[in-house]
Amino acid sequence: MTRRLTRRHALARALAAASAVAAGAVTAGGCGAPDAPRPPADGSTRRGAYRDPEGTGVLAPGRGEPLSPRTELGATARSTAVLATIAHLTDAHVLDAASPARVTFLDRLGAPFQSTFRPQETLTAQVLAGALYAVRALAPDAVVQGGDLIDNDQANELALALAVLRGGRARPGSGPGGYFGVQSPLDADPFYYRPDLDAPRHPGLLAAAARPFAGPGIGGRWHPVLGDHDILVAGEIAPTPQTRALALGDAALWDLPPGLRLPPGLTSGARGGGADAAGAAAGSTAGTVAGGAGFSPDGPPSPGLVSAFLAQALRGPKVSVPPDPGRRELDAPEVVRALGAAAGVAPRRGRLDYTVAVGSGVRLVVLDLARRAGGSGGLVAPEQPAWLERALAGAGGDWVIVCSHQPLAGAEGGERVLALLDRDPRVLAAIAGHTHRNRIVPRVTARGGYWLIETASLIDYPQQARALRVLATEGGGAAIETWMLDHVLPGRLGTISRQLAYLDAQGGRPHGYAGGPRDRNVTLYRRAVSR
Amino acid sequence: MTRRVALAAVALAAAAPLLVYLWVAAHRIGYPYELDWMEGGSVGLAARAAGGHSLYAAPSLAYVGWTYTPLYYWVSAAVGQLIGVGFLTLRLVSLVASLGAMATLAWIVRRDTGVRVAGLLAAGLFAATFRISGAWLDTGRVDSLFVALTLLAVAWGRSARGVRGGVGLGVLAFLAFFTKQIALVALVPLLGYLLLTRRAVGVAALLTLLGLVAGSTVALEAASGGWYGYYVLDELAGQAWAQGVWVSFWTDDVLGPLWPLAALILAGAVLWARRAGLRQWARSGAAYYGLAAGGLIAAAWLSRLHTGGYANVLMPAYAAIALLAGLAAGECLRGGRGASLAGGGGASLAGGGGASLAGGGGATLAGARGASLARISRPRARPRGRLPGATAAIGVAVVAVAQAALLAYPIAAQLPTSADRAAGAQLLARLRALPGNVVVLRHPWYAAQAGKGSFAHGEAITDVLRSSARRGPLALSASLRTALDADHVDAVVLDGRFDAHLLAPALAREFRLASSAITDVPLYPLTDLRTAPRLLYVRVRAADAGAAGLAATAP
Repeated sequence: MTRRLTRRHALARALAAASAVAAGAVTAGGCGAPDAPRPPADGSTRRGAYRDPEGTGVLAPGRGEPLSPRTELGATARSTAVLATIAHLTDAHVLDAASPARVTFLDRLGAPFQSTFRPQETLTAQVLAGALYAVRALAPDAVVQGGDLIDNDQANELALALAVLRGGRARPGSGPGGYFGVQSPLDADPFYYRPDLDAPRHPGLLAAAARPFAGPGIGGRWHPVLGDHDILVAGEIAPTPQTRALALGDAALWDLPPGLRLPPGLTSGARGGGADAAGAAAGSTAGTVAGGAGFSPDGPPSPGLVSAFLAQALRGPKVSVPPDPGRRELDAPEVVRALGAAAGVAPRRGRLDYTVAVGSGVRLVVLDLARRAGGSGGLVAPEQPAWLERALAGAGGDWVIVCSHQPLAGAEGGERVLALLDRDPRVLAAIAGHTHRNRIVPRVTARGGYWLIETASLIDYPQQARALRVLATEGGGAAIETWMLDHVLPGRLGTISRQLAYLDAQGGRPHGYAGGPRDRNVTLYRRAVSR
Repeated sequence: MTRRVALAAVALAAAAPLLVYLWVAAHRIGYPYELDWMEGGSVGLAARAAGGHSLYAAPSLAYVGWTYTPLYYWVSAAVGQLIGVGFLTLRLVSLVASLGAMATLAWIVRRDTGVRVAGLLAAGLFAATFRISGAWLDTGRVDSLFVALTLLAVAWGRSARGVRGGVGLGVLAFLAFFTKQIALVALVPLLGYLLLTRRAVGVAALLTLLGLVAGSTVALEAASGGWYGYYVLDELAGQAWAQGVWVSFWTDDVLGPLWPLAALILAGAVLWARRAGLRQWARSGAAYYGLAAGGLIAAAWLSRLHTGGYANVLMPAYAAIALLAGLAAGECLRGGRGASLAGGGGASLAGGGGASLAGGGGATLAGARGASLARISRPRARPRGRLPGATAAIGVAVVAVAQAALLAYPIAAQLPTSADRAAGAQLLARLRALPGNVVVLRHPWYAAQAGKGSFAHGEAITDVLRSSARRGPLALSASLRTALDADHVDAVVLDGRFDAHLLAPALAREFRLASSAITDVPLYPLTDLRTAPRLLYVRVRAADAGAAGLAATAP
């Protein structure tokens, strides 16, 4: 591919070169580089969104995505008032990348283990901080922290995440050096992304990622939702003496043990997201959430199989790593208490089930679906439907938004909950995370229906939070303006994380986690309450 | 006697790293594999130049230009006409250039101070920085030639007079720029100084430099269809800055390893200031070399600030510090001699003195004490600002020995082992055994050596893709989408799995990862990134046929 050189072009080049000489600024930039659009400072994708226009694998700021109407549950109507503004950020997976309790070596087996290693995994706290900058710019009435705040049920992960949320000094990294793990450049294993070696190279990234920084704080009220990774090792296994010893020990497994065999039922690639992911990539879906919904890239569904497999794997040769007492694994009640205390929420019988009024005429109903005994899928406890029924009744004339970590449609017992919601004409939406995917599906019911909204994770591409603005509309209906928020951490770490997440061959891009345009920036209309 | 012993210690501290460097270089120059992970790519550029092809062409999987100006590759190609293009050719050019840089340092210091051992010290100290500048001086990369030409320009500019002197300086500055663009930054302070103090020289040098840069740009732009400017200006300008290097350059790169020299330079500056007085600063040799050193250090700093800047970019800074340290040592060792950096006397080296000062003063004085290593006369009376001869010599000796000791490095670690050679031989043999063309993404010269086609270097591909100058990414991405098929590539060798994204989606769709690595033992380069060709991807049909005896498995 050659370009015809005009005299004017040649002269311009010569002048540019001569100017560079005169200024002595050859490397100082500006020599012919076109002006690139800047991403919006508030992270709003309505004003600017990251794109890869040339398909080079390099994200660049591009034009924004305006809101488009979705009318499956009601015709467009003029808004009469803003009832509440809510930010939903979920699946931050703030993690200790140097922890010996991590099982990164399983990543090379592919699905369902693809979440055991991510190239951007040292930057999770920074991405959460970047998301908070965007949330603060939104100035919402409430922030829903949608679960999986941490990744591996460790005390230092929770302390780090809460420091970012509270606005204190955040200290990523663990051990004496901050980071000693599979991404170190001296590790010869070519299966992991090593920022000092592999393209795109980011020399010094590991040290920068472990450097303390000031967490921005959430800047307002926040409401935690409990996720499986908050209380389970790898989001899957309730802590055992073996996992606790591994976390606090000085031996890590980095390489796939020779001769490792996957047990039947845990076949590599068995749950790659396949059709589910393809559907999501194709755009929005219609109708109700059916089978396959609720699948999470966080881990396989069978803790028994995983436990046995891990026990086999952990007999392999290990690497000596610096121990850190901060890696203590937490019991579920401890996590629930800590989150409740940090957010000013009183747990109910050891569960984070609660309701809270938000803005004017909106009520959040938060359900805790995390399994205490292990397993990443959602589980509706026997007493929860009755509690939910009372909570819905207590909402009065408020519009209700139900929050859970796992989508209700994919949770065990979720149909009972959905049936309750179906009967209530004031339920406007059910929001969830867990799937790491942007998706919005209407649930059509005789009482008007509601929107099932899933928000992408902060760890996998597209690393977005969601803004929701609840509006009253003419005629007694309601609408939700919702759009995605990109994280906007000052400096380069957030940008690097997003870029690496985009390039991750097992990450959010190939699986279509960004969703289609109708899963992101839309106005969701809901007709007036029918009683 | 004490002074003589001290001077002998200085000479030894200076000579030892020089000899060690020569020994190391002699044992590496014929090594048939990469000393640095991009050295093979550099050889590929020289081979392309030797073949009469432009170094600046539209980026594709087959070829991506580098962000350097062309002189080093042209010189290497010219040498290659005599001995063939390979690692040896480029290393030979670098070795000669590095020795030239050291000789220039010695020459400058000897000329300006008249103290021969100080010149030797400057050269030796620069050689001593071999390891902390990435063990780079003799690798087949542009830096040694760039530093040598820049130092030559500095040396020339010191004694240049009139328009002809200025033109000569302009030509040297251009040659340095034509080797590596950052030379402009290195030489801007010096040119500015000459514009103020020797206008004819400064104006002539600047106009010559501007004319040559503009002329070469127009010519190469026309010859390359506009890609020259893209690579050497746009792409660099579009690269990001590294974080955290603003300070660490000074703390970790400069003062950390070179604090004894910093102390020596400070002592020399204080002595000079006490003796000459600050009033003479503007037109003194101290000002000239101070600004020249500042330019060299600024060039290193700017390069380090760019993402991806390895320790090799520190070479100009270390050359500058070696120069200042040599001059400071000369100042300390001069005793009561009249000639000085400051000038003021008839034998002044300062601006007004004239070209005759180049070495003239030193030569007159040298030899008067033939037995003296320093070849300077012992002062009869110690003027103001002078240290007693023995004290100064001991001080310089302590600093020189301490600095040399601080910079000492394990020699064996710089040399290839028999295991490296075996791994290299195995790599080439296995590449040859593969069917069709082979992309060895980060070491394309190995594929060329094995007769498996000529392809772009992975780092050059990354540089284009991450640049904000979008013309390159557009052209390159179009090529990458189809090139694995169009170029009949049957195998791909990656250093790391994450590099696969550069060739996706074709790699994921049509290739499978072999179950064993391309070599039994990784072939790591000896310096810079410890990265080796490891993962072999074979085209599915070749995998089915059991290519090269390597069973293929799912990635």
